[in-house]
Amino acid sequence: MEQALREEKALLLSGNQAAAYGAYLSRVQVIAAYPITPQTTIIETLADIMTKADWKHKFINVESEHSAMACCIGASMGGVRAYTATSAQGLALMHELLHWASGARLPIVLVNVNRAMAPGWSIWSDQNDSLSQRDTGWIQLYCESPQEVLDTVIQGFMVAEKVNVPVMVVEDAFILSHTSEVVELPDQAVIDRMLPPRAPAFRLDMEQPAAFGGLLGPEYYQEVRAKLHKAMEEAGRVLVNVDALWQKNFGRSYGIVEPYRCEDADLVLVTSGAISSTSKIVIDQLRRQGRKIGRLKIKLFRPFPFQEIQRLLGDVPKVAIIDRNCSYGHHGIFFQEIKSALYGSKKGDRPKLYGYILGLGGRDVTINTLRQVIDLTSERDEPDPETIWVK
Amino acid sequence: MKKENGRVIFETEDELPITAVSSASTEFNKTGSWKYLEPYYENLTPPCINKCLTGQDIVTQLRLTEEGRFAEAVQVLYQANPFPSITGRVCPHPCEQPCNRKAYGGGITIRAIEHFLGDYAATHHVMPPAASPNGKAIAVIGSGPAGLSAAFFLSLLGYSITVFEALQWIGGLLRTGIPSYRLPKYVVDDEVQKLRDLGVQFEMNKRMGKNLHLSELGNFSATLLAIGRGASMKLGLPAEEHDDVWNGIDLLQKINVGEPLTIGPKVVVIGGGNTAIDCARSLLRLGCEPKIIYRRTKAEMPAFKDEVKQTLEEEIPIDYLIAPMKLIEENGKLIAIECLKTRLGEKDESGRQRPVPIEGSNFSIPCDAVVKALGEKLDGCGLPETLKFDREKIIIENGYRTSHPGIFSCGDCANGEGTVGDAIRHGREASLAIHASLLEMPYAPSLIPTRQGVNPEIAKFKQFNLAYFQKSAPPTLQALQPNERIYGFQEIESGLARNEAMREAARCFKCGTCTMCDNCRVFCPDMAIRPKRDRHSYEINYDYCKGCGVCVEECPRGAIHLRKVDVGN
Amino acid sequence: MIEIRIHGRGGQGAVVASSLLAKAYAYEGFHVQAFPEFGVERRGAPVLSFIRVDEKPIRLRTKVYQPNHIIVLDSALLKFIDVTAGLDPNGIIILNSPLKPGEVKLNGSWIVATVNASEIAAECGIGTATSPIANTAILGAYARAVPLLPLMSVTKAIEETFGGKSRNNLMAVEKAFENTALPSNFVAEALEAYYQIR
Repeated sequence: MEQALREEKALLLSGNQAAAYGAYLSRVQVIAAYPITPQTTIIETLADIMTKADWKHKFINVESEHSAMACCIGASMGGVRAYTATSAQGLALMHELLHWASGARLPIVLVNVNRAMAPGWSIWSDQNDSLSQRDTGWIQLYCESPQEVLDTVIQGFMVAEKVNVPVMVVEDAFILSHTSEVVELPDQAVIDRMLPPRAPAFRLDMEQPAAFGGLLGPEYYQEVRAKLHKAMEEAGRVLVNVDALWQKNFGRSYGIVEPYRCEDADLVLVTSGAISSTSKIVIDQLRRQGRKIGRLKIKLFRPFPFQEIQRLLGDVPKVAIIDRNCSYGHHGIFFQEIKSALYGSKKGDRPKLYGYILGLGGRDVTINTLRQVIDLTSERDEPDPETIWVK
Repeated sequence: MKKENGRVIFETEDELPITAVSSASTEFNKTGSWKYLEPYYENLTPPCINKCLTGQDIVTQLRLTEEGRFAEAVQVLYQANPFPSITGRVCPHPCEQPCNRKAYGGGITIRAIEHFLGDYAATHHVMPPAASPNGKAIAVIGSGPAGLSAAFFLSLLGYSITVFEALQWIGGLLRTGIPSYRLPKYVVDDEVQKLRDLGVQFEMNKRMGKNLHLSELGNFSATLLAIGRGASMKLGLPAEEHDDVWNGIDLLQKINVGEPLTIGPKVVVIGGGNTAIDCARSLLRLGCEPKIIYRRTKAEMPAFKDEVKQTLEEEIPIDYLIAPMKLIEENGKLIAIECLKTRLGEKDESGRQRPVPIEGSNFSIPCDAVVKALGEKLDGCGLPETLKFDREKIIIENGYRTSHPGIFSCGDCANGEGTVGDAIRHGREASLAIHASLLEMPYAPSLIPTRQGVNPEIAKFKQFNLAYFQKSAPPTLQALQPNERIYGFQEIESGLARNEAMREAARCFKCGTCTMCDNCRVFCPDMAIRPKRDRHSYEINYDYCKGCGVCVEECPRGAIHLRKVDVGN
Repeated sequence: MIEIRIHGRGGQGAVVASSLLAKAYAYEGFHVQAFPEFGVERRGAPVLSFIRVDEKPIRLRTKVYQPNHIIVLDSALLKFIDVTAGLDPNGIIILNSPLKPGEVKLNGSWIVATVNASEIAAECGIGTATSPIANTAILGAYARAVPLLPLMSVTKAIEETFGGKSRNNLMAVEKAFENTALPSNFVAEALEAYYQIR
């Protein structure tokens, strides 16, 4: 690693810097973004790279996130590779156009830095901003390290352009966005082979004029939407292949879900984002004590990996699900999703599901927090009917 | 997938595109076949242009002025009026009277903009496009506005022009008749210089019948008489030839050319026309105490209304319903004028009520001098006998021809209406008539030479879409106050500044005139409107125009109209 | 794992110091993590930044609660902040101060190293005459007090980060290294052994 660092094949990068380098290595042609804490350093890093590197691109300054996404949609319709990044209220402001981008089947990649929604104002991490966009037709990928952010941005374009569905790459505010680690830069020549220049299925073309996004009557709307749904399902399979290719070329892979010491486990902790990383330490500690505990990280949230969940959790007696979010009036969102995935499972004896909400608004999720979750799960034979809010 | 009547039908899900993208044009659907009314473009005549004495395309001038394209605006002016710096000052501007803007903040001060453009032309030496000489020469007799106008237009047609003037000054009434506070002499000088620059020759002190005879004009292809009306009407009273009884135009000439003069101090000016007003106001500036008497009332006064207003501002008394009866002398000096009061009787041939003297109402007005300003008539002295004329005018036929072959006549002497603007129009039309005659072509005058096919329909205020205009007032014109102006002949009104002129021109509605503002194209829900290739007008694709009338509604200035569609078609 | 906490004020370069230090450790083959205090602060207010160093990949993604090393960029902070909070009893404090270690009033078993980094920064023309920036100079003192990190890796991190503009900073780092005041019982080899074991 230090050799790579000395040769500048690796850099000390924060999650946000990695997100910017991901765009650069993807040879993004149009970027339209509006700064918002904690996403701002993505824009700053892009500007920094632009001044140093020979990068043929257009950066569009906009007056809002709504316009940023509108610009990306326009650019993508024009046939080029478009990228943006935002956070929290900014993502919420894009909402209408998120539907538009997926409905128009545009392979845009968006990095969302997970930040709690206001009020009260919070610049710190939780997942309610991105999970609120669950049904907009965007692929959602949750990362746990700066390296994964960089890799996932590039993988995002590979998947998006294959299935014509936009991709949201998600990283935790500060915990990833502002934390620097040594990040390896994949070789540009290899990336160029894996991600050739975009060949759009259709685009705005003066020579072949057509109307896009026009009226779609009841006789066709449902069928066209069914195509989006099928493309979403296809996206999961494509990501598995892309990830395998990544492993082959760069020796790293993430999986759409990542089980950690789940074999023979009688309790599996389900996590997403940066907590997945810290939780490995807890699992190691408990395994040393002889406790059969594993962890399952969910990277791909949409399309939701039903089969993997059923396969990996179906036989586990107890599953503790950590949600850094809340669907008010229901449970944590990952809890609901996993519960629904397992309900359709063929296994008759479904696992007992324990839901925990914690770490909202950037509250630090420490080793102790996670051990508390495991202890609460271990000591209860039956889950509480209500989700437990862990301090 | 199949096509039915140009429409694409998808039969299976696989055939469908992945998103809403058009597969074929909707042009097969000629929705314009459903139409009760259809729009069409037709420029209406703006009311100002309808009333312009010289026939200027005022709207185009203002469009160019609005954009700061002053030289181009002057060129448009030159097509109808060679002397904007003169008309911008002295024309009564009937164009302003019907301005549609009056109902929305105040009428456009067209005269002030013309004043600005005239001064711009003079200071920037804006010249009309030069013509190549055609080898023919024309004599113009008289250097008043009609003669000078004709000289200008004939030069532009390639003729070589010699203007003969009876006096030693060029300009006719422009120089000798109009006081400097209305028209400074340098303005006339500048315009005369413009004609000299066009190659016009001037010969002064040449009076018809005295030292100028038709026989001397044999080298000219044509002769144009524009000698004006130089003879004053008489009172018909005894002692009218007294030294203290002046002819108005003679008095004005003396004042205007700066000859020494002894008159007054108490002067009674008789008359209600512009000459009377000019005399009284000039006398006031020379230190006299003028008083105007007029046999009818203010309403019947032929003088320009603005002039009358300014006269009253200067506190010159105007007494109405008074008829002079007798000049009273004492020791060879005039001491008073005896008058009768009058009342208005039945209408005379001019349509005005005739003043009827009231028996026994005699009274006298003490005075040191009397100025007769009763109107002017043709001075027939020196006109060749072969020319038909009466005491009013030289008789002309269509095409400004006199009874004498090769001699044409225009301006006040040929029944002009007495204003500078009218004289200029006469000069232009006579020029074209002469040109047509020399080319042996028929002559057809066009009222507005710069507008094709003048529409008899005048654009009305109610035809405009006021959402596109802001209510706004005209600029305040800078003018000397009465107490500042009565001690000298300094010009009363100063023109607009460049930015004021542009702003004022921008206020103009451009009534009934397409300005290519693009509203119709933008609003057309069927995208059936597009600019023609020359970008000076639009065309409508009636295959798709449904006649909804949105373009008509959204045209700010009433240049689009609806007509019934011929259903049989 | 070693956890390091840097105390400074907004504008004193605590965040840059953390990434330089992380880089320097990375050149030595360690896995590193550098991050600022997650918050919003104005210039002049006390701020923190953190570094984690380990031989294994670092999976811990929480705040630092029990640091091994403390770097204090501004000794005036001692008056109103407990810079030793959570500090490992065997920990090291590197303090920007003109005082000798024995003169610094910090009660504990820690090793205290001092350096007048502000004066060195001023001499080397870093920052402005009115407010010298001591964030690079103090890293020289860190390398002196923590033998685990060779000075060469610190200078390399500075060169890689600042490129052509490194000269003054390198001068400052070296000067600070030479002028670091250490406690009289400081035994570099013993410390090195301590961290190798961990």
